[in-house]
Formats: sequence, structure tokens, C-alpha cells
Amino acid sequence: MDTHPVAKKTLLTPEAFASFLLWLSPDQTHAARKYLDLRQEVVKLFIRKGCAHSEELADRTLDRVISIAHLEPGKYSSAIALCCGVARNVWLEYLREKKHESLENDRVATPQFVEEEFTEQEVRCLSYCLNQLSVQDRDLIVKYHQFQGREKIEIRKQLADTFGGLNKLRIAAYRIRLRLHDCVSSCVQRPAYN
Amino acid sequence: MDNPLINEATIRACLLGRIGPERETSAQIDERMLADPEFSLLIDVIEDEILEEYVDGVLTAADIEAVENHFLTPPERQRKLRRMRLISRHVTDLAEENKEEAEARPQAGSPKRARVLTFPRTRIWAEVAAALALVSGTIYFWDQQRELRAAVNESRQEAALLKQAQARTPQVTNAGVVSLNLLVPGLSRGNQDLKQVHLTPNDETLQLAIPLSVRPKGRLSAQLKQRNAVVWSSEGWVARPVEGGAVLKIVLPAAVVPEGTCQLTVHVPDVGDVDYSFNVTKTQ
Repeated sequence: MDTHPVAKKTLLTPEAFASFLLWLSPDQTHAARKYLDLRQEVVKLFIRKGCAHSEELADRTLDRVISIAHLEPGKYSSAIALCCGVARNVWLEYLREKKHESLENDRVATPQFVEEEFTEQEVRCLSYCLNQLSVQDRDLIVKYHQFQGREKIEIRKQLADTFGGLNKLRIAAYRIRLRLHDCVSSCVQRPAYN
Repeated sequence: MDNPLINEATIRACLLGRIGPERETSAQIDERMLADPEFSLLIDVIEDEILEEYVDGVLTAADIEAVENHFLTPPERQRKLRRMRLISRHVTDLAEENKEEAEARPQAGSPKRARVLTFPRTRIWAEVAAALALVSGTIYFWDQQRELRAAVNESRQEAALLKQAQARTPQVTNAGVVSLNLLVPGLSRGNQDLKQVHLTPNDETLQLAIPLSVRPKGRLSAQLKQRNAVVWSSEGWVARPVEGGAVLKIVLPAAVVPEGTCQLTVHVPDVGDVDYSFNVTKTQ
């Protein structure tokens, strides 16, 4: 029996894929970009559902979407809407398969998220990445994460007042963290830091 | 499609796995997140905040359970958790250190002297004009640079996108990424038996696919060595489970891969170190 829930066969052909790209855009480069954006969004959708196999499920979804769009061109107005419906079905199937699998295997691993120590390299990379930020962004992210509890709430209120509202502040802090995250991730992979 | 009942609390409940996948709300959130970038951004922000609250230890016991049993299942989120912990713990100390270092550097000009200096009016206006010219020039060049950077990024992105998209169509070549399947572990006995890979200056990454007969629990680390000297190492790799085992894909920058016989050592939890040898040739 198929023990892995995402190892399903699909019927993707190069012709179907080419016609799908054409459906996305007559311009080949634009179509390729749209396809990858679409894939990225579908991967994200599965991650947000708490799926450990987001890439595989996204591929399974897109393979089906491509086949459907190839078989019935003109039936669907938007690739996003089609993806959404197919992704939902793929997800429900996956959950059924997973449930079946966990019934067969009594042993279900409980994830452990113990506090890990950081390597010197990671801390060095964070320092480097902080220095890559503008002074304003660095100040903001430091203040945003500076305190705990009541003090943290007060500081964030003050920051929100100067920043034009709490939502703007949250989004700004998120974007800075995202940049730090990306910067640290690529920094730790760099041979000079290894 | 927009449901007024979908608010932050609903999104949070959905992210914590409290809204059943068959429910209409779940489908509505999916639709909106794919179609509305602002809504998608809001979800990103809430996701990050859940991680922050988890790191700060301010979640309820029920939320902690939901985070550990559901929210943190994807490896992508586990990586984000690690970064969030790093930022939360070290960002303040590091910023303080950096500030002290900057303050310790010698200052150009004395502030006291600057305060007592007076300038003739014409000179002030000339300086203002020069400053304005400098600012507008800087803005212009910055703008040019930004446009240029955007164009470069766009072209890079296009290249990357095409590369990935073409990977799905077999007739197109895959420039920039060199793939090598390492099937048989073991030390090298002679170059003829070794897998060969050729790298050109255009190749950016070397992707190694390694089939494993086990499904490793936890993350794997890898080291690339030549003549017992480590030339590259990395950890945190996750093998993708497949029927009968798992497949580990390791991507490393082509620039770090030396010419000649290389040995890749993969540390598999509960198994130990597994070595793979391959031969690299390069076009300069």
C-alpha cells in the first residue's frame, strides 16, 4: 500500500503544461512568472493549513489544475479560483489518507520544540543583518522586541502613535522581521560564515 | 466572497487548526487569501505574532498545544520559529553593541566648535542650495539605482522563474542549476566509478539528490570535503519521505565546490554518517 500520503500519480503532460502556460499569458516569460507565483501561493496555502508536505500538495494541485484546464479550456475564468477549488479537494483527500495512515501506525510522533541554542555564526549573522537595515528600521525592530509584558505593550502603543496606527506598525515590524529572516538565512548558508 | 465574520480572531482560530477543513469559513479564508494580497499579508502578520507569543511564553495552555500539534507542523514554520527566537533573544543586545561601537568611533569635528561658528547669510544660502542639489542628486541617483536594482532583480527573477517552470517541461534545459543523483554511498575506489558532474561559471547551484532507505527523524547535516578538508557544511536539511524511504535534496552554491574528487558526508540521525563521493570538473 502507498504509505506516503502525497505520493499520488498525476497525468501531467508537456503539452498540457504548455497550454496551461499559454492560458496564463500569451507571453512566455510572463506566463512562467505567473505560474511560479501561483505555485508559491498554493504552497503558502498548504503551509497555512499546517501541512508538512506543502510543496508536494501544491504540485499535486497544480498538476490537476493543468489537466483540467487542458481538457476543458475556456470553462474557467481564473486560474486562482480553479486552484482554490482543487487545492481544497487535495487537502481533504490528504487528510483522509493521513487519518487512515495514522490508524494503521499506532506510533504517532509528538513534535518537540525545545529551546535550542544558537550558534555563534547565527548570532553574528543577525548582527550583520541588523547593520544592513536603515537606522529607522533598526530602531523600530529593537524597540518592538525590547521588553516583555506590560512594558512591551506600552512601548508598542507609543510606537503605534508615532507610526500612524497599530496595524501599520504591525505590518512594518513584520516586513522588517521578514527581511532579517531572509538575510540571516542566506548569511548562515554563505561559506564565508561557515 | 468577503465575509464580514472573517476577522482576526477567525484567522487565528483557522491558523491554530480550530476551524474544521470542511467548514465554509475555511473555504472562504482560502479563497480570500489567494485572491486578496492585503488579506494574505494580514495572515502573515498574525502568523508571525503567534510565533512571537509562543516564544514570549504568553500563550494559553490550549494555544500552546495548538501551536505545537498543528501550527508548527510545517518545517517552514519551524524554521521561522528558530529565527523568531533568535531575533527576540538577541536583537536588543546586538543593537546595543552596534550602537556602542558606532559611538566609540572618532567623531569628525567638535560639536562645541560647530555651535559657536556663525556664517554670513550668502554662505548659508549657498550651503542650503548645495545641500538641496546634493539631496535632489542623491534622490535622483537613488531612484536610478532603485530602478536598476528592480530591473536586475526582475531579470534575475525571470531567469529563476523560467528555470523552475522549464524544469517541469522536459524538453528545455535547466541552466544555472546542476543536478546530481548520488545513489551509492561509499568511499571512492577510482574515478571511473564515481559520479561525474561538470560545472561552468554560469552554474549557480549544485543540487544533490540522495535517496535514503530510511525515513530520518529530525534534521540532517551535510559536509562537503576534499582530501579530508571541509569546504562547506550546512545543517537543518529535511529529507522528503517517499515510498520505501526518503529523498534528501541538498543545494549548495556551485562556487564552493572544488574541482576534483569531493566527498559529501551526510549525518542521518539514528543512522550515523553516510559518505558519497563524486568527481567535479570545471570550465574556468
